Amino acid sequence: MVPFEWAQFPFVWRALGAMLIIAPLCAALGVHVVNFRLAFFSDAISHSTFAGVALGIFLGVNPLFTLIGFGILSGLAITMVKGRSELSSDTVISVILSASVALGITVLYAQKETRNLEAYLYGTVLAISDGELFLLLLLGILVFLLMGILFNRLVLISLNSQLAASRGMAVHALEYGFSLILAIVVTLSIRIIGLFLVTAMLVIPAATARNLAGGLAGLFWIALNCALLAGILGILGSFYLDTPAGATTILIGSLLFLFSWLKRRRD
Amino acid sequence: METQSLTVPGETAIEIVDLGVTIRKVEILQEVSLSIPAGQTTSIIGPNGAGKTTLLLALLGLVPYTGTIRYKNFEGRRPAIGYVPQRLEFERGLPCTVEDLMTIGLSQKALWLGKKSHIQARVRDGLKKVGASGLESRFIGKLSGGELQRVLLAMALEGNPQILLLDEPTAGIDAPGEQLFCDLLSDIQEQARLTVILISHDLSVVSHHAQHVICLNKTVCCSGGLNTLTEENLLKTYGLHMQLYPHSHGHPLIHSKSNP
Repeated sequence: MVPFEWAQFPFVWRALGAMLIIAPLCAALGVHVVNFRLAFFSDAISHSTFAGVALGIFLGVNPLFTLIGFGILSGLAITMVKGRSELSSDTVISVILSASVALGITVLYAQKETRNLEAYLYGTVLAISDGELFLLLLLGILVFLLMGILFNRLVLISLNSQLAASRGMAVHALEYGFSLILAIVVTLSIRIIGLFLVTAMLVIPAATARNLAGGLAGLFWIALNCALLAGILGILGSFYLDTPAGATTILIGSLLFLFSWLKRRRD
Repeated sequence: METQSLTVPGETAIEIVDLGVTIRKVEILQEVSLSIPAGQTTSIIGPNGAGKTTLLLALLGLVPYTGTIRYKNFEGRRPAIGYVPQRLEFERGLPCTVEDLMTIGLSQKALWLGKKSHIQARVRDGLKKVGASGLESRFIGKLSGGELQRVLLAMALEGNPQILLLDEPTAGIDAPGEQLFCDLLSDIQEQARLTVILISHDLSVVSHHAQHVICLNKTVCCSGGLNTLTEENLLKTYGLHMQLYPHSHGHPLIHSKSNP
């Protein structure tokens, strides 16, 4: 094993670049995902994109586009049904999740087409192109700016939406807006982390930070740094161990969580 | 207090005519007509599910309603309204300090970009006004019920409100904490001549701190001064036999007869 052997391969640099964008984004959103208890919701978005991939293959278009479309659609569908139904949100989410996964499996088997599927299930950050990286960078900057503008408001809404509304915040618009941003980031992260583990990328850094932070600012920065550390080590680890980068990242993130939990118990 | 009073006691602050609220086809309030006196504490009492919180939300403009709500004697403008919710929804593990909570209500600059010193000073002053100095760096999950209510009151007072709405502020607070909170509220209300609307289940709090009472059960069952709290009116509101008993501190207390 040569130290810095990875540095001569442009694909590793591109993968690191993608991770340096996605990891902080997921951490910044993840803080609110944990506050709003949206982990299952983001799981539903990522799993429902399975149907998007299947439909893309069926229609002969780039599955990346149908995947993003399906993720956003299911995110908005859940938010809408949740607001208008007497059922609890995990029931609504479960129905939409199961329906779209079943649709995906049915279409794929009818097509006898299961090649390329691994790329979406496990993520293929090491195969990312310059064009995709550029697109990711633009979107990353935009979402990060939005999260900066909305941070305080989203925290107050999560604490008491009526209190937030009484102070003139457009609570419904912000909730829909956050669901939309979350759906976009989740679908884009699938290429990097894989659809099985996207939610972990949102939740684990935020959960680790909850164990360590002494305030909301600390919560944000610790989550961000945990995600970056796990992401970078995950990519380099996958290069040397020949493992999927997404899963390796999440494993390292889980170890960080374990340490944070032990530290909290000791204090 | 910096709050300017635009109201004169004895006048009406809010007039509600024929208010109705229906949510998801369920009629929660109907034909509610009442007036809230300015510069006094009005208490809304009624059983669970009577629509008390919904009435507050209608005043805040947070639920759609029929009928009219008119704000009077505020120079034709909608007055600033402060709202103290019953509780916050968070897991105890949330690392949010009292200063964090107050700051997100005051400033739009993301907390993780740092706190401005003038905001920190406002937070300190705000907490001092409600006797909560020194709580700045405590996690909100580690506060007692009374401390959290005082912090929420400080948040509501930050907007220099002319009307203050409180949703069961003493629920889940022990007796000394309740006394402390009610005395604090009285002081603030008198200093700023605030119009206070207070939902309470605790009829001893009502009889001790309110000047005006509204009995609500889907519609107004009775309203008026404290002498409105008669056995007959309480029966009409709660559908239970309720009675005023002399309290050990000398304040009247109300109990249902079946469970004194």
